[in-house]
Amino acid sequence: MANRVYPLICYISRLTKRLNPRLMTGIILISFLILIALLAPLITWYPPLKSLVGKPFTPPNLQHPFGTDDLGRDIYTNVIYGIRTSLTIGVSSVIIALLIGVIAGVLAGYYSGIVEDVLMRLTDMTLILPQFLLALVIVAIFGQSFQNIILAIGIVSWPGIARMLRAEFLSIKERPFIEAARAVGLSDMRIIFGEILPNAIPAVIPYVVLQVNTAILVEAGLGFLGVGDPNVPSLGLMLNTAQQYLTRSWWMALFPGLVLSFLVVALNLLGDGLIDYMNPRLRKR
Amino acid sequence: MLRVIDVKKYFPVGTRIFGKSRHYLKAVDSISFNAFQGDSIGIVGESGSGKTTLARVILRLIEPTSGEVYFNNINILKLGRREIWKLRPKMQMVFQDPMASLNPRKKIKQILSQVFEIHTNLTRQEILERVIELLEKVGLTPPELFLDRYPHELSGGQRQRICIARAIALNPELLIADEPVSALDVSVRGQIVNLLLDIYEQYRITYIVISHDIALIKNICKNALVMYLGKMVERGEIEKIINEPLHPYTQLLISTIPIPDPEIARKRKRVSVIGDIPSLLNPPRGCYFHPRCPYSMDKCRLEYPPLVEVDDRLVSCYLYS
Repeated sequence: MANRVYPLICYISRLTKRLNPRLMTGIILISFLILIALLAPLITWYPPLKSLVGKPFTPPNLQHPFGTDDLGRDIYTNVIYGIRTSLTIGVSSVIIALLIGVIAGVLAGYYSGIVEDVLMRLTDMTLILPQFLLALVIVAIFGQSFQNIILAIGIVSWPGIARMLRAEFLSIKERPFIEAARAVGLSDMRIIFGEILPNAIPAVIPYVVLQVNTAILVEAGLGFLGVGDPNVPSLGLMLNTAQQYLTRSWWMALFPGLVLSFLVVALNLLGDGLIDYMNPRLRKR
Repeated sequence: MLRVIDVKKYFPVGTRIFGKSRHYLKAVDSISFNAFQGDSIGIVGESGSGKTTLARVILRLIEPTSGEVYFNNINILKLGRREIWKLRPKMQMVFQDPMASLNPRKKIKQILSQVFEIHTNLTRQEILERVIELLEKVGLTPPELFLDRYPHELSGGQRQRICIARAIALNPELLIADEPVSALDVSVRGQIVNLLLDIYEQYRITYIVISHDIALIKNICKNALVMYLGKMVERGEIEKIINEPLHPYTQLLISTIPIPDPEIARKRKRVSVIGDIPSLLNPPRGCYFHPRCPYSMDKCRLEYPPLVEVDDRLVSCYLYS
């Protein structure tokens, strides 16, 4: 047992030496938050969104560590479940954005001519629309459900990914090993997905992480404006309710706000750290 | 057998939004030559003379402006995608920079086995055997040591061996080597040249070696083609070209070969050349070489000299017509 664990520790310590402090902190904070989100049912003792588990407007005490809100719901429980919602929405909407963005970026970058022109104009058109407003309109039209919010955020955040991938493709496809691949007789699909994409991905990863961050903020913003899904615990929605009672019960705004900031800072650290990590010229040897 | 007839490649310069650009960069201008099975032809010229562009056209990696390329009597410039793909294993190329022409994110095993994956129906195990065989053939022993390496973990010479292995994997009939040793240390150049010669002896393939170094061509090829600014200035047997260069530009190239014996070197006729290579965008009128040529005449300034046959060679110079 011991001689199995020892190499593992060595490996981890070697790995941590190569990571920069921002990336390290980001990884630790995000793992902590993911852990909380996963363990939500175990570390809370009320069902989420259930009214009157305590007296309304109870200040923080042992029973309700973050107090209760206007409907007597436990804020601690809802904040913990809110992390879960935020992360789910952030990650799934970015996956949707990735699906659209990768297809558009790859095609526009690899094939020049009409394909590129049409796709890039489409990307520009989406890009000039204010992200938040567009998401707001989509949710307002199609209804305030959890899936619609994910879809709306996904649809507004693909252009950045598409543009970055296209730029990477434009430069990588001119490199000699692509010509070598063509001389050997590789098909376009194999060149795109086997040769170019693996070389383009590292440049896009930090951006994708930061995009998760934006998605979480957009979701919170939608909730704050009252177009969140009322059936899902959301940090934004909680802040929306809290502003009406800000003068009499500060705890209703403080804890969801703190947790949201914590989430955003953690993701920012992770994304920024990754940018440095992926750029070997900035990496200290 | 390879026949190249009047191949031209013009790149448009300064494209305008509407209409076609009026200026062209004539990278390859009317090049013709034949190469029979087992022939070896060297293409010599300084950088920017269109050697690599010519090679790309022959392999149809880029589309030429005009001309015909026959490979085993098939005009490859008229083939569709599917047909050209079927011909790919028969015509291969070794690229200039071995580091840049290998995908940095793929292991040697993957780089070599994908050639078999797309052109043969061999099983995984059979492909692995062929890859090991290939590595041995290009002198990377023991092969097991190289299978799981990445290109950046190899030395320059080893990388070029991998590139050569990739090119000969499917027993090509035509192999183009584009500056095969110029990116390598002098110490490993000889080894790679010997490897290229071994492969030539073994397979009797048609060889085209591109280099700026006429001494290298002399070691590998029987025939040579000298290019200057996209034009062919002299073509013929390498021995004759080296011993008695006809075109003044060829004389200049020959005079750059170092001679180990200082006694002989001192006796050598020095060719003095003035000026730099002119821009391809705005080549001089008449013979492209006349501003630098010690023998330039009035005629040279007016019209480009036609190719004439002198002593079993083709040369484009008014000195011989």
